[in-house]
Amino acid sequence: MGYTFQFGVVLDALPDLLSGAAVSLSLAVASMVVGMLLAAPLAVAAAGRNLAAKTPARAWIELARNTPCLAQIYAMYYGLGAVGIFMPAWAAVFLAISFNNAGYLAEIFRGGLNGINANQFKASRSLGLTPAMAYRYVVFPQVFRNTYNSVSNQFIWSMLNTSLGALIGLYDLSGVAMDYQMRTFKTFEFFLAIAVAYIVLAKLIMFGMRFLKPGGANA
Amino acid sequence: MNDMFSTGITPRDYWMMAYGAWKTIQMTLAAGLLATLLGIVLGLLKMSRFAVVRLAVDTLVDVLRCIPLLVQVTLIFSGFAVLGAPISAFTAGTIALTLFAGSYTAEVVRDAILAVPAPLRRAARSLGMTARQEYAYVVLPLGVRQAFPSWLGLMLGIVKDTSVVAVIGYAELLKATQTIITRTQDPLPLLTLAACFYFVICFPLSMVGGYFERSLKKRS
Repeated sequence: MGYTFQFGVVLDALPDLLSGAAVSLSLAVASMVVGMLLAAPLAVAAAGRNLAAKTPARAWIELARNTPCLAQIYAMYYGLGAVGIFMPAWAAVFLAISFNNAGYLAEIFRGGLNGINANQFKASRSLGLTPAMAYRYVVFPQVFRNTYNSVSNQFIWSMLNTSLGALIGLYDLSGVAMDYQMRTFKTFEFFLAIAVAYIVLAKLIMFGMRFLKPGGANA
Repeated sequence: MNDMFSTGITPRDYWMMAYGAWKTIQMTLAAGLLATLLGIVLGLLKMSRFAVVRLAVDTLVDVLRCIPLLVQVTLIFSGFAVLGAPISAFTAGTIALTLFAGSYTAEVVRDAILAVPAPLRRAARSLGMTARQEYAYVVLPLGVRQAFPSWLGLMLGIVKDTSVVAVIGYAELLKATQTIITRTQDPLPLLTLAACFYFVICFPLSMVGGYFERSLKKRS
């Protein structure tokens, strides 16, 4: 075996790798927040009877879940570019992962909505709450609590998906590694380093979500 | 094709995409089968009597789940090359997808086994069944029913995840599409067509899953 591992070049690239990690994490957080905000109304529409709302919601969910995330990123970057809407790589990744998150989270929330007794909604309505208030104050707090673990998993999953942005030139962890790999030919070393970095990021998210959990870390 | 510099979409391009879709299906079948087997083994090991085994499997599964597939594929591809035994993109992609999906399948298998009521299993044993018979005639039929929807979801995930293997040069559906786009410079129709291909592969499967889930709900 004539190969010598050289991790010195990885250490030299540390500042870039750290800024790449910041890009990965911030994109994941931003697209998770937007995804959650979109997913709640999507889930309500998809679970409801109003066809005018249900059909587009179902279409969104099915499209987000049945096409590869990479294809969604390409669609935002190249597809929208073809109709004259140009955006930087980070914006395309942000939009694509938000779209993807919204679809997956809506399906998770829909499962959660099914678990809530319909009478609770009726009771809130008869107490004078508007439908929006009933969802906001009565239904969704419970849905969030019941689906918390699935939502946490989706968060980690979407963080891992941001790595696909490297293929359209995003300078996130993977993008930095790909860039340095081309300059130094140390593919294995760089990807091993970012593999460890991704594990750390995933654990950070897991840790953070445990603290955000309604009712505290032990609930 | 009269003009080799023409930038229009030719029938050959559709053929190339269809071939890409076939390569996607090939890798899905290979990785799906291996991942299922690996998942069953890991799932059973997860319930081992020995804490060391459980810890080892849990750590492995945890690590595999926290690294993006893109990174895993590249690591495996370059890792074998570094070791002096280069493997093809298909092999590297299949190994990576097997490990990735297998770690998720392990969880599904474990949950399915745990979903079989313990008294039922003890009853089987007290009727004189051996451990093997208990698994074959009690745990397996009930567990499969429980695991099927999630398992199918994982297989659908593999269909989509094959697109990531493009980074090491496997010309599956999305890579083929991308290659044609670089010539025609017209991404919209081709990307839409690629999405349709994925949809045609995935949607019937997810319909089957939905049907199975509903019939399960009716029975219980």
